[in-house]
Amino acid sequence: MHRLNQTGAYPGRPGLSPALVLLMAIVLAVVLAGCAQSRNAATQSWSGVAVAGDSTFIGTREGRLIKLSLDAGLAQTAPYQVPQPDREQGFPALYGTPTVDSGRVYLGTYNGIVLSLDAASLGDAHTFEIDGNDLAKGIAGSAVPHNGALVVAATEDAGAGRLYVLEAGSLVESCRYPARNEPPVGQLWTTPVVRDGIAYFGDQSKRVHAVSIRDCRPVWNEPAQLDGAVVAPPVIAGGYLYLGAFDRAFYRVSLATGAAEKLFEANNWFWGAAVTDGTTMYIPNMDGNIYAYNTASGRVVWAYPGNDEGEPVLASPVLSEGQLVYASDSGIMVVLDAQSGSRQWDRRVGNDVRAPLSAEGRLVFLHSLDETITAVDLDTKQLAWERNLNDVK
Amino acid sequence: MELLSLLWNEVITKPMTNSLLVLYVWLGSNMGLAIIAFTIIVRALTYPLVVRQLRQTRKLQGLQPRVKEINEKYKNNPQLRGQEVMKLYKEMGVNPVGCLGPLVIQMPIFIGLFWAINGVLPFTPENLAGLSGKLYSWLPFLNSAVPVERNFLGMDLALEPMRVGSILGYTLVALSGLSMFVQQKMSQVASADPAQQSTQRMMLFMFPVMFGMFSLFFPIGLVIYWVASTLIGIVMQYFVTGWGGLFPQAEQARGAGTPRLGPTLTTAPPDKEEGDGRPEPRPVSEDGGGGNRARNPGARRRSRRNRNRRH
Repeated sequence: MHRLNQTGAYPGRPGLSPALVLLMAIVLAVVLAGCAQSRNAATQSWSGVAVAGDSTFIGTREGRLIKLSLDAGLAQTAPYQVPQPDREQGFPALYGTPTVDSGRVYLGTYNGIVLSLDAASLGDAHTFEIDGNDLAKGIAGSAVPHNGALVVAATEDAGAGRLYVLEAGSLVESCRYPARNEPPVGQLWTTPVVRDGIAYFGDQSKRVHAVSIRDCRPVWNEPAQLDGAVVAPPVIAGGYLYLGAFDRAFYRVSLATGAAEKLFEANNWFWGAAVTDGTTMYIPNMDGNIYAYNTASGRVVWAYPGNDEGEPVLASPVLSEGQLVYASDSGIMVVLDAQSGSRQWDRRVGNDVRAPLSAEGRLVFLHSLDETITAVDLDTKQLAWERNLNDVK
Repeated sequence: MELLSLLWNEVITKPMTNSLLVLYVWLGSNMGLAIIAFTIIVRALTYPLVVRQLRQTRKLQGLQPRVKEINEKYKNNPQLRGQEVMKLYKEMGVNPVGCLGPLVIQMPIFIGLFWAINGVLPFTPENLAGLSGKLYSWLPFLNSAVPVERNFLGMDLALEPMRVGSILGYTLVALSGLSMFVQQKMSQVASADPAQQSTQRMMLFMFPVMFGMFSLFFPIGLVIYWVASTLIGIVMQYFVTGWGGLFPQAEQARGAGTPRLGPTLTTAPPDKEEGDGRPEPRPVSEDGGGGNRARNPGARRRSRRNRNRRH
């Protein structure tokens, strides 16, 4: 066998040796296969923790609904596995936080299925599959129960979404907006907020809608027009809808007329929902800051940490007894004084946190991307319990 | 590893992502057109490199008769034979692996664009969230362009042809393999060596088939880039080296025709950066792949003079 010279050619032969060509092909194939495979990697998903009675409910990226005890994080029943329809496409991941109402737990899956389960046993499942393109349809927000109805914002295809209103127990469709024979609104990856029989939600076509859940008719003459796509769930306070968009602006929209007004600009997109104590909005932004906006004065009263060096904050924060708790892609939970925005203490909770935080009394729950649930006692500043969802069988 | 990832992100992915989005905004919110425009710009930027590689290929082609001579002369001494061939390559400023240049140049762009398209055309919330960190803050209008319209000619640019299943998608896959085959064939150097012929045959079929197969599993946006890029490459190659190995008879027949891109291809000096300060190189022989040389009497005269000087 000839020894290869430094150029990879056989001595006396111009060009490449077969071995080198083969090696290059293998390297190329590995790189290309790696790229292609990365598209099929498991999704992240970031379901928050729902609390009901002495139980917590959490969704996972594999499409499992898990029920843990509130005080110790122990599994109370066997997890429920979301059915995967007989099709190759679509992830059963759960991005939205489960909701619990009247003994039923509700969730929407990223492969487009709405589920209603008995909250005690995680059995007696009712399902409803949304219409649309199997390759692109899905639900990325929470299903919202309201007076016997269940409101779900769904994506039916790339760039196309509809609001579904179902009967809460049976999941029989009541109506949808826009109606089946009308063009859809923009893609919906949000959770609607429902007040007095009207669902409010923003879409990725930069519009905010108000729809009666009784007959799925729009309430405003025209949807409110923003300058950026909306993923953040809106928050209602004092006759206005508050929400941020991808144009880095935070808006308020009149509940009565749908008139939109830009309030302030951050340095990146708004993704997570704001929380409010009635007068101040605490708003997470992907520039790494939490902004406190006073709705009465119309000013940002503080921003923490106040620079662009923090990791993106997608997770909605929680308020508890004058303390604001938030977590970010840094995997650190930070407790702030809600009034002043000063840091009180923090704690590392593991991986990135993108799921909205929730609280029950002084116990705060965080779901990090490594599928770990962390319960932290705000009074003792100690870990109450921690459970990796992959260990729950 | 983290540094490498950061470097890749800052140098390749971010500029590509922002460029794609700027083109998207400028071209009426049409991502398909933005990808094609992006391809043209990338091809224009890499033109000098690609032309240099093509010239190398051409030179290599022209050296074949002399390599054959060396093979004959030193057939019993492989060591010396290798040294003599390498010496010849060095003198002529030829890199025998240079014919792979266009492919090698394209790979970082291809992989970078793969990640850019994944980010710009997200199909999961985490992909969309990841896009925010890739946008330049000094281009604020890009934030309002997100999310982009994914539809182009009835195809979802973010999905793989395999999943879309449309005729146009499969046509693009076929075109990606076919166009690459044509480009490979054009750049191949005629060789009398059976082993070399076997290598060339392997390259001729293996890479196009491989890319065709993988195209099935890449987003259609990326397949559009690949097809557009290869087609532009074919046109560029035609103007630099002619049909090359694709229609060798046609090339021989037009040997007396107008030289492409002027005498730079016909005098066969080493490229400037490799040839500076060296003695004037011995030109390529007059027959076969040196068809262009026959068109340049000056080069032919120098060729003879140099040969006399050597022997």
